[in-house]
Amino acid sequence: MIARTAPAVTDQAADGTVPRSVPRVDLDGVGRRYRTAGNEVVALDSVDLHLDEGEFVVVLGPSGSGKTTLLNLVGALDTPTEGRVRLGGVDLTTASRAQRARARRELTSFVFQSFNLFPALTALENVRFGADVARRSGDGTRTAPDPGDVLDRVGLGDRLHHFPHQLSGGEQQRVAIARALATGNPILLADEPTGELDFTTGVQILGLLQQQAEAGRTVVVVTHNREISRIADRVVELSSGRIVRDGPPRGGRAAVTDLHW
Amino acid sequence: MSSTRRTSRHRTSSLWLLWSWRDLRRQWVTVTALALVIAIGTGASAALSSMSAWRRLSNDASYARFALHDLLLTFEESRPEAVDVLAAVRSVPHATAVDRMEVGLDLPAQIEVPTTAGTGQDTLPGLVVGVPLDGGGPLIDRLLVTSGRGLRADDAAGTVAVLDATSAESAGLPGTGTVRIAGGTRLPYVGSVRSAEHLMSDASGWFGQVERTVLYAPLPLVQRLAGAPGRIDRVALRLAPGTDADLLRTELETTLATRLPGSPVAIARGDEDPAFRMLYDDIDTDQRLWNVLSLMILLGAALATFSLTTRVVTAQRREMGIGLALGLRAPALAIRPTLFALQIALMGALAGVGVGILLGRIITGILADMIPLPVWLSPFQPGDYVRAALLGIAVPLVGVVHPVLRAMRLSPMDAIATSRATGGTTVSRGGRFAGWLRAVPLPGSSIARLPVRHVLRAPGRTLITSAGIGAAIAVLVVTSGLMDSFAAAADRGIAETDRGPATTTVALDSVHPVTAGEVRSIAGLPQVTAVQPTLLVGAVARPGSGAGADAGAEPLDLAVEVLDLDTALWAPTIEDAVAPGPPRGIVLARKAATDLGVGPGDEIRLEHPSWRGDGAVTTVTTAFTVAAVHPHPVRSLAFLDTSAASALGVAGLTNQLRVSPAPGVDEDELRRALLATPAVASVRSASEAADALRDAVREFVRMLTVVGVLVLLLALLIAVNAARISADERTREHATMFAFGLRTGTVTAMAMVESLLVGLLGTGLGVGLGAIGTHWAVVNLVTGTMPELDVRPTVAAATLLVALALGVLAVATAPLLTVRRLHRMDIPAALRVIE
Repeated sequence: MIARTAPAVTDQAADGTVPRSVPRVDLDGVGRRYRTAGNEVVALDSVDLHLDEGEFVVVLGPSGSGKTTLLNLVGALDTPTEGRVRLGGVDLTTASRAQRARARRELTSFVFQSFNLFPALTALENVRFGADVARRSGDGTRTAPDPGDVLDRVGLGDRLHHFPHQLSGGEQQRVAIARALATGNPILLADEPTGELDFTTGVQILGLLQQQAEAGRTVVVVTHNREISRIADRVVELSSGRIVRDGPPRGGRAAVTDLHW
Repeated sequence: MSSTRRTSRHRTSSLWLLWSWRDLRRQWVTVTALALVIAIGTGASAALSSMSAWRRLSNDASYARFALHDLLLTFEESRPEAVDVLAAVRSVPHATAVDRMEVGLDLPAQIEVPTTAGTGQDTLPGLVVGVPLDGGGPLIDRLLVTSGRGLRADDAAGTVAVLDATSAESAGLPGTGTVRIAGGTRLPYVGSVRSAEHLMSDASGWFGQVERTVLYAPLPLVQRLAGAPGRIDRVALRLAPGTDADLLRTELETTLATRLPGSPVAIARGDEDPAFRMLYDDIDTDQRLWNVLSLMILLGAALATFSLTTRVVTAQRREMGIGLALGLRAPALAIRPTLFALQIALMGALAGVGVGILLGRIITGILADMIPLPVWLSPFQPGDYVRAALLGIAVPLVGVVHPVLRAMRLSPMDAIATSRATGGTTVSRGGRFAGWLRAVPLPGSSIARLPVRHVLRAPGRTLITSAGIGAAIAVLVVTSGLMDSFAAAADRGIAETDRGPATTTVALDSVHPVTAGEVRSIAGLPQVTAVQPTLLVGAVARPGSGAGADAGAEPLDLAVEVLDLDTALWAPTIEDAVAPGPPRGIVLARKAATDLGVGPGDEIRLEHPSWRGDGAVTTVTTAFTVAAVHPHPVRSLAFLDTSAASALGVAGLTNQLRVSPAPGVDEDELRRALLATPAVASVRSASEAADALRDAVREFVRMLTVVGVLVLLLALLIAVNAARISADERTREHATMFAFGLRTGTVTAMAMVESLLVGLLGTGLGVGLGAIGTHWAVVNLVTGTMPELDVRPTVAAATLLVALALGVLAVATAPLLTVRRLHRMDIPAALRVIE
């Protein structure tokens, strides 16, 4: 069992779900190097980052700046070559594969740029997948939100039995968000969630993500779109694998309705 | 064409080739498995199709080495003077067409040989064949040395012999040694040889055969032992090329009848030799069965290749979309997958040569065990191979066409976006049917539903993968089913033979009165407790009434055993009797009745020998009512109660005894005692009769086992490859599952459930088709290949279990082979597959 040291957040989320205790995320002196064809690529270099519960953090940077690598490390999909990554006090750097899988199962949820829905499952079944994974955790007594309710709350109550190819891009991304929320996990990680969406749909999605942070989840959104960073509590800018800025949005925090690109 | 354009085209071609090589290298395991599937399909098909050519070539080469006679004159009832016979031959009008004449003399004799254990002597019925040695051994019907040495010119005046290799193997005699023949003459044999005449064992039927130990000795020695100096009973002729053998035969018959009226002669062409005819006649009927199996293996491999190639190429659809978007013309899109498939096909077809050659050696090895030809050849048969290889090459190319056409029907952006729309997999959304199947409500969690949904989502793909597995399973069921059918026939025969107390069948050297001293001496042996004299009569049966008579059914050769059905030590099981009690008419094998088109109550006409009071034998035709049928699978076995023996003209005669051993006497002891008794030609225990039945189907069973092993390998390759390709197709889904924290075990279990469903479907198809195929093969092929045996379609429970184990368990567990890949998956990289 992964020990948690972070305090619990018990506010009710906008989607009606109650996130469990939200752990801290600590990255200390983290580096990630890749070796390809004899060359060494430094994706992240000496990154120190600490995320508190309920923060809506946007990680900003151009392509190749290391933002997806950072997200993968936070999400226990990858391990650093230097430094330490701790999630809820658990050191993921030295954790086994099984422990990292457990961290993903119990603490984090992903929203991908290209949705990664299961094409053989309906919208409802895709969301149920998130809930089913949650139920397989721990001693089996863990409860997860009702998938139908979650889909309803992301505005897809009338699309429950549609398959992914029968949905628009925005609808697919909302299903992906619903699937992540259905896990009930306290940390939501989104990699370019609006990258394949039009402006209107993108704004709707961002609004949904912002609601999750307001409900107490830690939300980390990776993007190269500077405009999106305007709605964040905190903006972490990366360049060539290093954090070049960490703080509130320049010019203050904006509302989702103020965004334009 | 300008040189610049030529160079540009050359570069483009090189790029396609290089790209396809990279595709091959990247998927080398899948590529290798696919090539192996093609190799097994083409190689096995070519080898099985080549069997008739190999057998014919081997027969031709063997008989060329034997220098088989063109005509053989046999004096069965007399031993005329050699000089008279040769003079008669030289006097025929076309005598100049005779290039060479060689005379010989056969001496039937009891022969004492060392026991297998070397602790005593066995007395066996034997034959000492006198051969001329003036040319350094017979130059017609040569004796080919298999061990030790052959007879030489300087042995002509000596007391020396060589042993027939077939007899030596049958009796378990050493390659050299000494035997004693009747009269006490010790005859050392210096080697063993193979001859055309005794190539096959003397045992040519099922029961009552004469098994003789054959020795070849200098003609003068045999003439001396026979007390017939200068006399012969056989002349082999070699004719000049182009001679009309039938014309010469007629001339010889006429001349010999005139010049040697007291010595009736039978003259046969070389190609009328029984072993020769059997070896050649079997080829084409056997080949029909192998052709069907060959076709089935090829079809199984073709279906699997088509399915797997289609799936591999479908995975390139997005890149095809990119090509379309970049302005590539449609035909150019097909270049890369076509090159990819063509290279796999060529690799498979080339490897098929190796598989074919290897299988050829295995097959000819099995045949060589069964048929001791001196030469066995299995040269590569380009025609058979090319036919199989063309299909092996064509199928992967056809497998390319469908996904390429599908990709071309899409707009470039749709083709590119296919992966996203399908969640990163490369499977199409399917048509309306697929839509209905997708919507089938399923119980259980999403994790439990996903494998079922995958199967339902692309029914075409599911069906074609299942069909590949099903085809392999079907071939396996057919090959095993044929073995089961043969084994069941043998078991039925053995069960029938084993009824009642154990008896040993003794063939006498000729027909004797049942009261003859020879019979009494056998009955008086201390090792014998009871003796039942019977008479085995060869006969030809024709339908006299019933449907067979109307339809003009073919006559059948029967071995009619006349015995007392009331008191016999052994009697057949009586089925469908016309009247209760012991049958008073002929009892036919069920298959004989069916083939003759008669049933109980109908009449058959039996052409059979009849012994006159003076001992002369004539052939007469007698009508008998079919009183019942018996279940023994050997068609030729028929039984007649002794009460009908007078109608047959054989009352009070016997040439076969059924003997019951005394308490405490084992088979070997009884056998030795019987063989040492005068007039005993052969002894066959119940277990030997059972072995004879098993031997009759052994060649097929061994061949089918080889085919079965290949098919098993084919099915496993299909299962493994399908699992690998599925794993490739699902890489992104698996990465997504891992991102949500699912364990490798859960993901593997989901893949196994999906494979299990495909395996169940494939196995169901395979078992169903296999059962139908077995029925068809037995009814349409085996009856032609082995008309003498009542083989009924049988698929044993063990065959079904193996099919289930292979089709369900092996296919379901195939994803376990991908566990390592799943475990080592670079999740972030897999999630970025198409981003």
